[in-house]
Amino acid sequence: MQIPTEQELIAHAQRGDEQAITHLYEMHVDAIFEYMSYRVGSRNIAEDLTSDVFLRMVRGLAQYKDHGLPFRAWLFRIAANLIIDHYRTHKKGPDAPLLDNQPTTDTDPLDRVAKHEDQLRMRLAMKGLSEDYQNLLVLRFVENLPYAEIAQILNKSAEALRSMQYRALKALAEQFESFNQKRDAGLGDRQ
Amino acid sequence: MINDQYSPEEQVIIQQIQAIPRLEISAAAREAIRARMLSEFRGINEQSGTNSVPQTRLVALTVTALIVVTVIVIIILAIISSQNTVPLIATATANTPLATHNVTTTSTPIPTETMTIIASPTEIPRTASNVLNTDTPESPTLSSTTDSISLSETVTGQTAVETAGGVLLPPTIDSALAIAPAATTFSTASLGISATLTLDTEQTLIPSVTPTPPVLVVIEGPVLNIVNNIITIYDFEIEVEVDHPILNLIEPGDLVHIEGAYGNSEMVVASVVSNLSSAPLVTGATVSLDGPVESINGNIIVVNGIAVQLAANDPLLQTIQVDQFVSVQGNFQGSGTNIVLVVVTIVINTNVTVTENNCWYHDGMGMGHWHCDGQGMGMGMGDAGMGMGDPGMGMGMGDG
Repeated sequence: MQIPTEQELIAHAQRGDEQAITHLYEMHVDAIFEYMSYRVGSRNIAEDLTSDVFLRMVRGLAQYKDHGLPFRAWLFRIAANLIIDHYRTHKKGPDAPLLDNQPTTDTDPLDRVAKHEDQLRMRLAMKGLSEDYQNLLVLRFVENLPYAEIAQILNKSAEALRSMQYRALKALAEQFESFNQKRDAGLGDRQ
Repeated sequence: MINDQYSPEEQVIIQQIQAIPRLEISAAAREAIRARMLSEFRGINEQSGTNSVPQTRLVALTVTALIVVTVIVIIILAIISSQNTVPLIATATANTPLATHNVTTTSTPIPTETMTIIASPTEIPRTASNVLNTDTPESPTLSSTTDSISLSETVTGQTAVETAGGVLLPPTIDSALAIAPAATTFSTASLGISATLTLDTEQTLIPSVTPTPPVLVVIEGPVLNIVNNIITIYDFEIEVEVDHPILNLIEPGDLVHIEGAYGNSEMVVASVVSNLSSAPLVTGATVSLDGPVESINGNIIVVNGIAVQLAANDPLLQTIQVDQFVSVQGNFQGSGTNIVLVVVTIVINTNVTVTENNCWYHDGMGMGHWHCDGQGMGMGMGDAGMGMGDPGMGMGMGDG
């Protein structure tokens, strides 16, 4: 049986095919949830926002047009906008312990703790960046999206993204280093 | 995704980003979200009717119909315009006095041969053979000698005008066409040319319309909003060329100078966009740009994502390095994706302090100010302890 292309699935879904819409959902739900969890730091909130993404997807599907980019670019754009709306109504607070109880292959407990702290500092460092920087870094290095798609999601040119990426990585490095210095100075990891 | 395009420091950071554990959606959440989505999907389909023709198809049909109608209209207009060409007809009616014989031209004549019109009456020596025959007025005829056309006319009841010098001048013809001076005798020889130039005595000259230049609009003020390539200043919406580098440079709150003209959509289409820096612009520059050098490629350096073009023999190219802070003034040139900022002046700033969040305090020219990358210009103060200097340095508002 021939596997339908994404364009075919979209066309079927626009005609009311439940199987097609379910297929599209299964193709993209993991990536959207992963993106949300990186950005909001809470599993519950990430699940709620992921649900909102797909509700908006079905509401806007009739007007969706193929502009030569993958369908997921549209979904990520919806996701990015939802995160902006979320932070408008919810003040950014300290992260929920998103990294607790994560499976690990480290047997040495000290290694596990050290790695856990590094990851926590990196998450906090990322949270200190601007929305655009966070979006860019997650979409580029976690979701591995090409510049062309990220440009459509963030509504910027590919050239602007390249220079923004340079500044974002530099800013993240400086943030991370400052957290390391505070740790070393005995001030702790919390601001 | 690590490859050679990233520096070692960048690769370390990228690896740490990618090392952050990734959450997976739980099975229960996956199922719950799917159920919610399908419920919404069914509700929408019930409202609109299942298996209805997608809107995209209706739009395609409408567009096709519009195109067909437009083509038909164009064809009809072309047919109408081809029937509207009016040949120039000159008829001299009998008994028309020469003095009132007005011959004017309208529209464009349709000769099939080139005709040279020479506009000057000719003095004709008085000879026995060139006394005008004034018996019967005849229709003027055209004779052709080489490349010129002469208009001759036999008039009844009028005589030639004799000047004091004994020169016989032909009767004056108030005419936009001239009398060819080639012949010394009036001739009514028949035409030997296939083309006919005719003048319509009833028609009048229609002056051509001089197009008026578009009104130049100049706007200066703070940027209220930027959406894609549309900048809003006060109540004016200004359209900038898509992907113009100035869009990467200015932010809401920046002061800009715009020159342009109103386009078809009642929006100002900008031809010049320059930011009004706190530092005065040198003569000949319309844009100022501060920031770190991000890359160097020949005589093109990238500052804040904008390609800056130095002169090929600029000595600064021997010493400039990535990460140095520069103040550039120049002008955008080019179009589309080939827009570069051509340098008028460029200075490396050594008195720049970098703080967190990619902000820096620029003490240039005695007008110190904070600048946060991507957050516009302004005065600002970070929290105590940020950056260099004692806590509490600086005063003002803005992002830190």
